Amino acid sequence: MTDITVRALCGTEELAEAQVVGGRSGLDRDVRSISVISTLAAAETVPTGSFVIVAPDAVDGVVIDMLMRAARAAGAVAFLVPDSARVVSSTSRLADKTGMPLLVASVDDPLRLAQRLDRVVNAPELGRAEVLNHLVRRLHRDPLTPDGVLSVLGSALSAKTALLGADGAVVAGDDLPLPKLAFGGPKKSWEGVLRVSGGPGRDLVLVPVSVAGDTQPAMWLVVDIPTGPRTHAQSAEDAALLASWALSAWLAERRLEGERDARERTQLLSAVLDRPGRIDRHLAQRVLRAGWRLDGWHTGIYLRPSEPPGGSLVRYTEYLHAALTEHGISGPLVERATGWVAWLTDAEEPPATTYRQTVRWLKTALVSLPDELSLVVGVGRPYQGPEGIATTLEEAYQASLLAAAGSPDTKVAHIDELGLQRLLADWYTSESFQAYARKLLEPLSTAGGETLLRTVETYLDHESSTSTTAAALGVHRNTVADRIARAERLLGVTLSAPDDRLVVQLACRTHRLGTVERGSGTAPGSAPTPQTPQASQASQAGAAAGARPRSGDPLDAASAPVADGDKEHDSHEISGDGPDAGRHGAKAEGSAVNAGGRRRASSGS
Amino acid sequence: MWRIEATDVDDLATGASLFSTGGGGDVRLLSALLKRTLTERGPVPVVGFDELPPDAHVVPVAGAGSYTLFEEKPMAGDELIRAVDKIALHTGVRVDAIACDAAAGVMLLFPVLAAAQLGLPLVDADSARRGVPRMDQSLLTFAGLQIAPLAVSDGGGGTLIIDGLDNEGTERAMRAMLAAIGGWACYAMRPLSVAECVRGMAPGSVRAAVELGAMSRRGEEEALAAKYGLRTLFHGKVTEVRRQPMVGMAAGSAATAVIEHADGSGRVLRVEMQSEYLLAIEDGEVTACVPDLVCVVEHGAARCLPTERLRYGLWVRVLAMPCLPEWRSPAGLELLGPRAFGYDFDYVPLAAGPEAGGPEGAGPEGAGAGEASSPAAPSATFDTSDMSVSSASSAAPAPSDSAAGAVGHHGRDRGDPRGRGDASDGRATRLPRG
Repeated sequence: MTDITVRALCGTEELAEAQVVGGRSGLDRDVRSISVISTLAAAETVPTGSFVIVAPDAVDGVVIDMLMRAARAAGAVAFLVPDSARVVSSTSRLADKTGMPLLVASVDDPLRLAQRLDRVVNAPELGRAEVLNHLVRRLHRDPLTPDGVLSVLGSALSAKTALLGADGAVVAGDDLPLPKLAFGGPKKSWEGVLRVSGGPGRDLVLVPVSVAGDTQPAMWLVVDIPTGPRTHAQSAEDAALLASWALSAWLAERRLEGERDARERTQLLSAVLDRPGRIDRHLAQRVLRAGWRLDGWHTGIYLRPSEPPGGSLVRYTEYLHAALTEHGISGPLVERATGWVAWLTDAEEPPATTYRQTVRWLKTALVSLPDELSLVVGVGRPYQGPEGIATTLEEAYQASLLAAAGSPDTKVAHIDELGLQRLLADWYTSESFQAYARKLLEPLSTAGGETLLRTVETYLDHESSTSTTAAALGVHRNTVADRIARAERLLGVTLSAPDDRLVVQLACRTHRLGTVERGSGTAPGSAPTPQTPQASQASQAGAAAGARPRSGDPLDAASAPVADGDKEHDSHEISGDGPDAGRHGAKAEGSAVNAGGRRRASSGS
Repeated sequence: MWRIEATDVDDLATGASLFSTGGGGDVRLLSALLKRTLTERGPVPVVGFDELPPDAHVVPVAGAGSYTLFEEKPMAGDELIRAVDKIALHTGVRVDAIACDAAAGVMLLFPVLAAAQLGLPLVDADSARRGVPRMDQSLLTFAGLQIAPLAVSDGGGGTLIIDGLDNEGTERAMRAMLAAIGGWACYAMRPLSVAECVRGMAPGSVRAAVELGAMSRRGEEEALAAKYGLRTLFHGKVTEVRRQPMVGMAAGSAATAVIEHADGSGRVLRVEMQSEYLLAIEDGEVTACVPDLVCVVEHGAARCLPTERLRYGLWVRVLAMPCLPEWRSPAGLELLGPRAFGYDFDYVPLAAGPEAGGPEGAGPEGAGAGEASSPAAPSATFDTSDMSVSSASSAAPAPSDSAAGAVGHHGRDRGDPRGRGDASDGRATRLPRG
């Protein structure tokens, strides 16, 4: 015996058309059996707990009120009349009075209806088994796609189904009206199956779809069912769970494919960049299979996260590729250790003005990306042939570095736009000047930390105007003036003197680039080829050093004696070049050289 | 013997209307015709069975068909005379008196009119004492008497004879014919001997109709309850009338009305009707059903509202009255029980309701007094055998007493085993609550 109420039974598919016209107060009584009656005598002897169906042929010879009263007296819990013309107000009044739910529905075959309802009441497990059986067979037979799984599930349950992204947007299936609470607010445990109300008379069954290791569901499977018997909902939940496994399998397959492709692309690009002049048949085939073109004119693009990303870049690749394609950048996209490279290929040499269009596309594409994926982009000049790919990508890489070092508003930089900056790029990246710059600015860092350094830098970038600097930094003008005075004192320079100003500004730029470099862990000027494991380890160590305060770092302190000799040598060279070496040498030496030593270690490998 | 004067016609028509239970046509037009005839030709003498010579022949006459058509295309005036003449000619007997077929509605007014026109006495008896849709639903059938040969006359001078068919066949032939002869007709049945009348008719019907009508018009509810067991089941407003075509024996339309009680308690009464009001059902329970009489009377009126006039919004009283005890027997119920009208349930005898409880409760005392005061006068049985209310006669007016005495004799004369005893049984069953 199941605990199925009249209300629940009314929610089944079999009674979808039935209208309750009276006796609603009795809707929560339990139904134990189904009876079809055609005479008063039959009504008087229905079993207790009967859901009574009046045979359509019988309605002519009986007064429905009398049948209903007799059935109620015998213990019936619901009364279905097949002809609404037979139900007058006295009938519904009587139903209300006796708390006997009175249903009106056209019934063609009362026995068949009774049989089906009886199965719902007395053998719900049969219906459930049928649904699951059907589902398993179909899932096994049909191709594994979200649409396929949804349609199989929908037909098995006679329900609407949908697949939603993690944000609640419909990815596949029916457009289901979803309640906010399913996705908003603090996430509940998303293990297993959720059932939420989907409006009056509707329930939504929600099943998360994810691959092992995911911290949150990648998708949600949603089934819309009428609020019905518990067993009915249970069938829907079980079926949805089963379908969610099929969808998880599909998801895992897709992920695996994506990662395999990504790795393949990365290797292929390395091979092409390694030996652009010697493309053998085997490599050419691989290139073709990847859908790349090596001939024609290539415009390189280098995209790098402006902050070190939290996890693997690969999972964003597909997303990024879609975003770029949508905004007109339709070339290949390949993961690198510190970002992605892409390039556009044209049959003819593109006109010099094309890069403006490219930069505009990239800018709009960047805006469309989510906050967690913040990128800076460099664009190279077009070059021809397989060798051209390497060249343009290197330019793009440099441009991206400059974009990172430049003002925060500059997200996309073209190598041509950089002009004088590019001239300076060599200067910035020269090892000796970097060491000098660090030493020069050392007093500032020591005395006032980043604040003082930034104030000086901003002041110089803003034509030595205290008011503009104050606005840019969001502080008072007097504060700026005070900081500048303090910096001049510390550095022993006069920023109003052109020579002093030039030197300090160059040092600031170099310093900032150095910081960015260490942060991203790649040596400037090196070709954007894949890094060997040792190189990336070393650069990571460098990044760690760069991210921490220079003095008092236990790592630095521990390594200092080992590299002592080298340091002495380097520091002498550098301090000899600096204008104020004598004054700051003792203080700056250790840490500056220390950092230099690490840098060399990384670039040397 | 007593007489029906023109001044009695309103009472007679009202009583006939209540006996008709909503069927049998509107008595309005025929009342006017009857009043005029009685004024012109004088009153009609009404006699009991014992006042007839033993070899007398009595012809029951009536009208059949659509009363709506009868009102649109009224009588030529000689239809009843032609029918009676024709049956006399056909059977070769002399007609000594006219009788009612069913003392209900216009069916009761036709024989009075015929008697007045023919200058014959009217026998105070009928064979149904309630509205019936069919000719064969008659005590004559119940007593095994044939109604054929039957003379039928239309309004245009045509006359037909139906002969050699049993009662059901005669009814069917009549129905089939009516459409061909203008929708309505008058008929005269086979002349009955006095002995046949005693076997197949209930005496006192005309008297009862006059008295019932008079009481109803005066609004004497207690007297009505005491004497005729008439009680109010319900009063309120008609909130729904649903008519639907019906197939079956009495082809026509069935209708359901729902009446909401005036006391605002939410009580509703469901009334089922075909040609007559047949069932009154409250909360799925039968409170009155055919063959007992169910009447719907418009607020402030005395006559029963014809079923086709019942409509939404009317304020009405629903009355019930017990039928002749013959109808409650198995054979009677087969002819006139709920199943005869297509309702698949057994007859439920009219219960004593709260409205009827008071007067009826006082009944036994009255009966005792009546019997004690006149033990030798079985006159108190005016209506015992027929209306199954024995006691009330003592409270009845004097004229009815004497008349009842006369009829009562005949009740006994005809050797009917039912009588007081049967009536008492009827009472007992009707008063379960004491």
